[in-house]
Amino acid sequence: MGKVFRFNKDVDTDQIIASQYLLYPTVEEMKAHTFESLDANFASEVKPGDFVVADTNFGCGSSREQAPAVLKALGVRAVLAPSFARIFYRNSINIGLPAIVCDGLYDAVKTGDEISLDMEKGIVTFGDKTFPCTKLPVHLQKILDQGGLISSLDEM
Amino acid sequence: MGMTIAEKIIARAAGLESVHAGEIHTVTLDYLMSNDGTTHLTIDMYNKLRNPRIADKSKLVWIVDHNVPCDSPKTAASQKKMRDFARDNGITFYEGAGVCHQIMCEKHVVPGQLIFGADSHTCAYGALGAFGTGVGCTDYLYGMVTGGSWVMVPETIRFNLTGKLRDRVTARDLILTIIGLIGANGANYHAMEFVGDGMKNLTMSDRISICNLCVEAGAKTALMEVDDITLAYLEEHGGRKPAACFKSDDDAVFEKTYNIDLSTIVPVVAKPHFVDNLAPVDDVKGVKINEAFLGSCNNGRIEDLRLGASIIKGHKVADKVRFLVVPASQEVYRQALREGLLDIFMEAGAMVMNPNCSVCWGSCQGVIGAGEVLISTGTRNFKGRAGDKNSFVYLGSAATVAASAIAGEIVSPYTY
Repeated sequence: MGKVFRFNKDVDTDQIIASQYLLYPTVEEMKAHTFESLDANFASEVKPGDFVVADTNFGCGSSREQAPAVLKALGVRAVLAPSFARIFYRNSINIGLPAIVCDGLYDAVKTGDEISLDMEKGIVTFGDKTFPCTKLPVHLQKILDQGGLISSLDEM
Repeated sequence: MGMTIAEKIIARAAGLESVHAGEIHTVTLDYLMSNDGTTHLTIDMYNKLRNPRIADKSKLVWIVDHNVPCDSPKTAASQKKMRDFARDNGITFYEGAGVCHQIMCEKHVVPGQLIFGADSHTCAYGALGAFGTGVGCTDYLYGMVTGGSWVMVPETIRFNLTGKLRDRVTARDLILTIIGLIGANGANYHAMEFVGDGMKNLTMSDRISICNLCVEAGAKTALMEVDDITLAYLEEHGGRKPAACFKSDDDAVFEKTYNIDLSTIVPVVAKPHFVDNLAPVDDVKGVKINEAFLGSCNNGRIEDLRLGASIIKGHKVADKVRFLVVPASQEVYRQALREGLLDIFMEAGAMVMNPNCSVCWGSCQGVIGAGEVLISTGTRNFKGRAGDKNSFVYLGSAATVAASAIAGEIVSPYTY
């Protein structure tokens, strides 16, 4: 179980982590500024195991991998939305942060609600309601299961 | 079934006779471009590998363009890491030469190539008939170590362009109109392909402007055919020759085709805070501005500067308005200098800056404050993009920006 932090549609990568922080030497130094312009308390309130739930086209804009990376560094368990922008989605899977396509969840929850995610079964549970998630294509699930793309480089 | 340009380029990179949309293939990459936005993180990940190695360093191009000149000690440390690694590993490196995509077009990309760039606007290379796509540092690292990657073959949306843009209507107005039409997510995962009789009326600069912005509609890439205009550009810039020239087959399958008559396009802006929040310029006339920006990978080329200079010549920048003019490369800067354009801008009261991402990036130059309004030829206008989270960015063409800089408010590019 984890707490929901709910955001709207078309949340772009500048909202997730603004340009002025990107050239900080490490993601650890950047993560305190996650979602700063939308929710100044997010970085201090989010706990490992919590969820980001958003509307369509989450992560649009830049290819900055810092966007999913700061979320992962803060312990976000998964990002759930009806659709994701392409580069954010690919980056998320690559670093082992589940980006899960899930219809209906955004309308049903608000920030503060508790939900749970069963990745194996592909179901999100909120109270007595369940929401099915779209299964990842096999090759992407494999990358996620390995913890990201880099671990496969070390296998070579 | 025939293939689209996107399918043909991936087939070539995969070493296959044919591929089709929806399939996943392993490909060899022709170039891997990275800039100072993320390379410092890539290097840290590289150094943590059990067996760090570079497959083919000749394919790597590293460009410092985002925070140039450097804005802080933290940035200096990150850029030093990138610079030192490039030097120690013999990687092609540019710093201060210009914006990454402009450098890649001027010096490297050739038709037929498949290119990963650690920057979303890598789709710009479609203007040169190459499949360019934006990736993050992990994909970049994987490509650096193995020389390749996996790609899912995208569906293609086709734009059949006819006619000619009217006077002071630009390619920027065209691509903003298209993004407004299909939406910020309208081409998600797709290739956007531009063809038609109208193409011969679009210069290479126009084509780069069009392809560059396609990611703002969610596109994976943008593509165009190779013609005499492409070949002339390549010849002028280092005598480069195509790797391969592709056209979509007559029986290729497109998910959708739009027919656009260029002569129907009017000057437009993207209003805060979304690139698809379109309006004709006339609808936002009178909005007071604090800063204007002419530059970026989208509109920092000589043609954009000529257009801006032709409008501002003999006029002055409005009182209390900052107008930054930033050529996208040293080549453009020097050309503008030779043509007397920089003098025109400075006479008008504009600030002419070194080639870099500048105001578009919102971190290093021309950052705007709370409540301020910017009109810009930059690529994006999301909330806080150019500075304070409570600031406002309108996107428009070089003509609209120059005219608005004179007026001190958003005006039609026909005003002066």
